[in-house]
Amino acid sequence: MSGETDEIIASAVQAGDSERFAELIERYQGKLLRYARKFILDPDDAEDIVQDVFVKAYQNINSFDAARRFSPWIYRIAHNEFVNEIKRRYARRIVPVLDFDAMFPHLLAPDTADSVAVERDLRIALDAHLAELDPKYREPLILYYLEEMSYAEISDIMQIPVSTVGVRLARARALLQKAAADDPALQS
Amino acid sequence: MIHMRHDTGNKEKGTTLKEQVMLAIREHRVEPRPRAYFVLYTLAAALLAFVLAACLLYVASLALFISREQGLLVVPAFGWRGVTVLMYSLPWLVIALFLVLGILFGSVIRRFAQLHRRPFLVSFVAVALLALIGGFLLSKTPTHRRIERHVRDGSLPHIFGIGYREPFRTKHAPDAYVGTIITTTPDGFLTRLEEGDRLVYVVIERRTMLPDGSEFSVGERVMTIGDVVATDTLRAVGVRVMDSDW
Repeated sequence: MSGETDEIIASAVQAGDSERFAELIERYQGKLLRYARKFILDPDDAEDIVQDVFVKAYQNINSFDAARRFSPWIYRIAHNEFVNEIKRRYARRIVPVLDFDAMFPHLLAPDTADSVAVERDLRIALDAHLAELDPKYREPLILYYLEEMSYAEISDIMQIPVSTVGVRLARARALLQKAAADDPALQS
Repeated sequence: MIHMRHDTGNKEKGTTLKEQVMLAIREHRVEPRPRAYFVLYTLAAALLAFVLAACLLYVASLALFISREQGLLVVPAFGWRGVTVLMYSLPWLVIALFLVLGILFGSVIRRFAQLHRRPFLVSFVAVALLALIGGFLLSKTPTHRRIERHVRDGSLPHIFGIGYREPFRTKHAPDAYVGTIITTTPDGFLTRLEEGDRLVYVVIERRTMLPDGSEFSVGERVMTIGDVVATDTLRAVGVRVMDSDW
């Protein structure tokens, strides 16, 4: 794998060097597969869905602005694809048309790292109870804790206000902690 | 199977995700959309945003023009009675149109300049404030007065003058009267009302609110809020000259 940035490789693909798209696939397939498996909760189909993400990314590569970062761009495509898949499977919207969380301002909790102990507990709870959460809370948790993205990056991917990312993460953490507290296996 | 939607080929045992996508690319079963497609898409979105912004500005200025023409922006000076008149007579349809256009414009521009990072209400309020400032300036120009004159002359197709007629231009509240002073009297004035073209005698009392002073001249256009005390006689609660500034 070359030491070039994603943006340089994407520019080369835009210029017609389609073979270099393979490098982008190599760099992102692991991350996107993990994102898909945790978000859609179907390990069997994750590979097919991620394959679709790469196909869409290639089809739309000329819409990528090389002055910006490639990572949020491809994650945005993945988000759209995964959300459509969830809608298709469960025949329902992930968030209502009138999403009050995204409509009104909220006090923004700072985007700071949790303490080591809290983070460890959250990760244990995340593994055990992520599937129980509503997708709108599940996704920011995955992006924040597993993909290690900032609030601003999550905001760009999910196209929701930065303060809404904070609100959803706070609620998701509370739900996880409650689930963990009720789980005798985790208590022991 | 998702991969079939994009025809990347049958998923053969042992072939990796990367190999399948690259095979589809090499065999030209998947092609990148040309840059012109995205440029046109962006231009179309920008054009839509521009048209919506122009409509928003026009509707904001129309709402302010109608409100000012009907003397609505001065009636709150008459206290609770004035506020009631204001609520009754505001051009609600134009205001509703303004809100719809504002929401549409806000939704379109959120795709640009990372506005999605801010709550929708914040961008909507910013858009509405800018539109109101622009609309205020536009309402001060002779544009609306000219259009209205054409509407009254009948020289403008009906559809273009729709905003200047009812129901967009609402009626005054039942106890608000707009007219031109025909003559002054020791205790008030005689006015020709615009609605119904009838003459009404306005009695000014000590309690009558007169923010513009008690001196009225023949020919002045005034709004009177008051109670009918006899046939064609009003006891004024408040009187304002409508050609005065806001």
